[in-house]
Amino acid sequence: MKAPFNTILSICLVLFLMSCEEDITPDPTLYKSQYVVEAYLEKSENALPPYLLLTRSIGFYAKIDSVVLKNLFVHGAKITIEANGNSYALEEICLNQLPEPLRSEVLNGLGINSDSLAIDFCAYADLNGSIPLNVGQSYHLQIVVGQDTLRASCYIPLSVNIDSIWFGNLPGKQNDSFAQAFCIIQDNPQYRDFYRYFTAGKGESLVPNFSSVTNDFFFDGQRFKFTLNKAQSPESGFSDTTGYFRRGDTVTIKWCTINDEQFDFWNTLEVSRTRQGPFSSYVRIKGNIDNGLGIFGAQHCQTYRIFVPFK
Amino acid sequence: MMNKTAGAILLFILFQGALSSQQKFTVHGYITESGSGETIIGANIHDVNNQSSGVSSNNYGFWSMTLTEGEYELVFTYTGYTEEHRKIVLNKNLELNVKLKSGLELEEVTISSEEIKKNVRSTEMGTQVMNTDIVKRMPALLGEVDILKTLQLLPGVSSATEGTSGLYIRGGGPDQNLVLLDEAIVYNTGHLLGFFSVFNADAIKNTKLIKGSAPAEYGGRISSVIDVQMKEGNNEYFEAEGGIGLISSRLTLQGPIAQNKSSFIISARRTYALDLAQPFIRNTNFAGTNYYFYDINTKINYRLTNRDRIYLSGYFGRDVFKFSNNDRAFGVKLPYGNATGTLRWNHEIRNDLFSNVSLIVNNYDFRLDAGQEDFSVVVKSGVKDISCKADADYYPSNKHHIKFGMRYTYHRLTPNLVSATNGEVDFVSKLETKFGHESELYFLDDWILRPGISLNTGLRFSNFIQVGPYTGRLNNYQSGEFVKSYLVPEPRIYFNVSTGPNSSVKGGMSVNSQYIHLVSNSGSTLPTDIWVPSTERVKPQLGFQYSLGYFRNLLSNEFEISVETYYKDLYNQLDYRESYVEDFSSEVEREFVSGRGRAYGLELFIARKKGRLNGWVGYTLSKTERWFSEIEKGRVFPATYDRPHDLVLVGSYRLSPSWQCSANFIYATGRAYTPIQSLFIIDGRPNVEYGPRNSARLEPYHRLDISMVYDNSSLKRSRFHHSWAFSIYNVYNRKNPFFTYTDFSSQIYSGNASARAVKVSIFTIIPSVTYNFSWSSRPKILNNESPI
Repeated sequence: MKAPFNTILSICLVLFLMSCEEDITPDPTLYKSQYVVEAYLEKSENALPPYLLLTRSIGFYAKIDSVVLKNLFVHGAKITIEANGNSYALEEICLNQLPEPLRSEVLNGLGINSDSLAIDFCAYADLNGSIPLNVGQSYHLQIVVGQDTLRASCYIPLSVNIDSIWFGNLPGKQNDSFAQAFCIIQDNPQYRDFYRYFTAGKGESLVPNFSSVTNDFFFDGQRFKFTLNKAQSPESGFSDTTGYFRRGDTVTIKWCTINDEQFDFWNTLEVSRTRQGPFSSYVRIKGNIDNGLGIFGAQHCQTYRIFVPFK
Repeated sequence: MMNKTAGAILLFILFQGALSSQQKFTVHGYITESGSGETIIGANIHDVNNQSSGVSSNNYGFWSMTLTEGEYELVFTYTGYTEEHRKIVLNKNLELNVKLKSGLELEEVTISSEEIKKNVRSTEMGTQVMNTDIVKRMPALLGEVDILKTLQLLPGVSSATEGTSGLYIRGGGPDQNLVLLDEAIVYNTGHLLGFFSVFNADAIKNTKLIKGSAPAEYGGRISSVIDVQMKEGNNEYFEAEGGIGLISSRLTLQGPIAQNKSSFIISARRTYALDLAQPFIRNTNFAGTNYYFYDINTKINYRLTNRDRIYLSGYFGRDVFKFSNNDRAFGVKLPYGNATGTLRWNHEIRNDLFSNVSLIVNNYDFRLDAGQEDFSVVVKSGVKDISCKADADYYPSNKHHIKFGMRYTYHRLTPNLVSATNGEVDFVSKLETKFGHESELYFLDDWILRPGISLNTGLRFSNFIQVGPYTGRLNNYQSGEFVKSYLVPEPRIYFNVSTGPNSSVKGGMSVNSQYIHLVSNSGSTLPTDIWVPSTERVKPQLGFQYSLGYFRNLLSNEFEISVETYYKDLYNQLDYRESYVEDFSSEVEREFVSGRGRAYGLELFIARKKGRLNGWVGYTLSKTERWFSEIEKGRVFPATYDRPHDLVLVGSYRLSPSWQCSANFIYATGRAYTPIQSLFIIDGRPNVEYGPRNSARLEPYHRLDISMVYDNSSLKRSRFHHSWAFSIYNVYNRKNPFFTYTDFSSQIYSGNASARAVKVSIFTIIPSVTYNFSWSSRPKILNNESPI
């Protein structure tokens, strides 16, 4: 009796687990082109100057090749940022206009691997560094493209530095090659703080973690100890050492306070990217661009370069 | 005001009784099942010479008729049971307890025409009573007999996602169904993310579904009522029954404690799929990982006197998920479930006045414990209610059945309270547990105005008082301090006008309010969803329903046909604001937006209740819409569970005394979903911009299920019987999409990126087999001919 029962059980479990996948094509008539803005004001040492990427949204193409990609970028827009009553224009500049060392530095700052870049990349930037970046200052962005006008605002928040960073053993099973990072911050008790961080291993560009933002609801005003995972993209998969730093590397950690709208944007965007599955519902990404998609964000950052000691 | 109303009702009853006592006498009693002593709910009693007026046994099996002095022949009928006749000489008040023989005990079942005509004669609309024996014969997913999934086969009822037991009834959300188990509200009706209902069919006597036109005795939800009654326990002999299935095993024990005086039932069920896998899991990095659910139903009753009965019933169910990753010293434990308890006292105040007083407690709690070395987090949420209620059935004449009563509930609703520690500092969320007092008072009269015209009029007053602690818009309220009160009058009126001996037109309207809400941010309800009360910020939901229907029986009552239409106006509907992301740091009620809804439709139902081949066809044409000023600027969009077309065919055929086959076929419009409108690049990666909410549909859903049941019960008189149930879910392997997802390559600036959208089907063809057995201390022959 036992053997047939187990056989039936096995067959049924296999059938149950044998879910089927089929590709579908989203309705192309739903496509509606919108402007997409990705712009940052960053107050920190070694920050890129204020810059803005202006693209268009695209339909759900099965293949996004270099031609499709190149056509995304919007050229010839009139872009200004107004601060404290003064207006500052951003100039359009493309990567191929930059000398090589600067080009690599810019791509690294944008988290883009220069070796795999297939297109000329254009942005609008405050090339002269004329926009004053002050804590608490409000900035108002205006983009004029033909008949269309896009607007957004942001402010630069106070900085909250990491007081100390150290590395410890991995929890559970021993691993001599990797270490876990611990940090302590003293959260600001007077404000609702929002945080975002990036990390880079040896020879890597700084990238945000797939879940890169948090607020201080649970530790408002407290001295707070936490583990800091090595950033990775959601596509890179998980392994036993995901989130840990390789011993012997000099790693970079960029720790930023961000404005609330930028927190909402990244929070909804990161959840939207991972919200897949039978019980999930969609999340509409919440940007702060009037008449467009994307984010005009401000951040106040500190960058730490630390050696991960051998065990 | 309330005291005056109650006093007037009491005076009316006493005065009416005094006036009538000289001309009329009352015959009353209980109707029970022969062989088990189980009370029968909703059995019909009428005078053989006056078929147009009669009464039904109430929720406790009690009935009463007040007639003028004389000789009568009373007929007792109930679907699936033989008709019983009793001749009486009524020259004094009389107690008459009747036992009906069920189809399970008989060689042949004849169904009374009068019983079948009940659907034509009563004022009930949109109401179906589902006998558990019928449910057990239906094809079942993975062999798990499921009452709620069987209800999904009725017109006007659907599930949000395939395989789940959540009910969406006439355009109402799952939280808008009043689900009662022995009068206790069940807040979470699903095990295993809703794939299996919490109701163990072995412990359930019957299930009544009211799709909208609920009489005044029901309240607290704006969509429907699912009233589940547990068995009371065989009070004549001992029985044991159980089953072994692919997913779970069950065992039920019942019997008399004192013969015909007291009995008990205890029923338990537990899953074991991952228990069987433990020997393999134990040797891996994931040792300690497991999932199971179990539930226990129990009930005892005691007859104190001929006029007093006490019932104590309880339910306890848990889902337990444990995950361990020993390499990472990481562990999660996630237990959740319901517990309910009901203490009832039935008392016959007079021969024509029956009362029930209940004390009810229920508790739904969810808990998550997770930890890794020094770090740990605990999340807790739930609902705890303590209720007391008193109901009375009054039968002043055979033209009136008056019901009145009250209920009081103290609610304690815990949001997702988080406490965490990093080994040095403890963190506790500052969210507030909410408290409320809910009170209800109702009165209704089911009145036969004259032969062929009946009226069910009722009025219900409901009141909800929120008390502190609470952080309001302007004030902070202390514990127990009054915050906000809502009072809603809820009139209900239904009529039945006979249009012939076998046909009638019924109609009505009702107003319903709801003070406890659950808003889900997922495609289906999940145990992590939390219930919230009406507060200063959250107004009670209101529902206005209008319905009209034509009911007719054909071919000597062999076929029952009904066409019902309904229109629902819904106010203060709740949803999450656009771009809401679950966040333990915010009061969930501040993330709600309030809006409107409407649902309307037409339901066609044709049933054959006699013969070897029986079953039904149900078709629903409907529309369900919502709109919120803060979502897409008030655009009207279809609800996720909007199903314009829904067709169900259910059939059962008795091949031989021991073999029975059943099948059901379902076709429904595909589920509404929010489509991708475009992609945009941020941070070097593609992101999705969604189009208008629920503006696209998955492809139509359809499937065929079949089952064969072999049962040796009718072959010999024996103490031991067994049966095999073979079932195939989705026979022709239709790949119905369960969900969709998108997949992107991340290196978009390489100029070599791609995007794909994928639909996933989970429930392909699934065969199953279940072995059932029963033992009784008294040998018996069972017959499984009881029709649907």
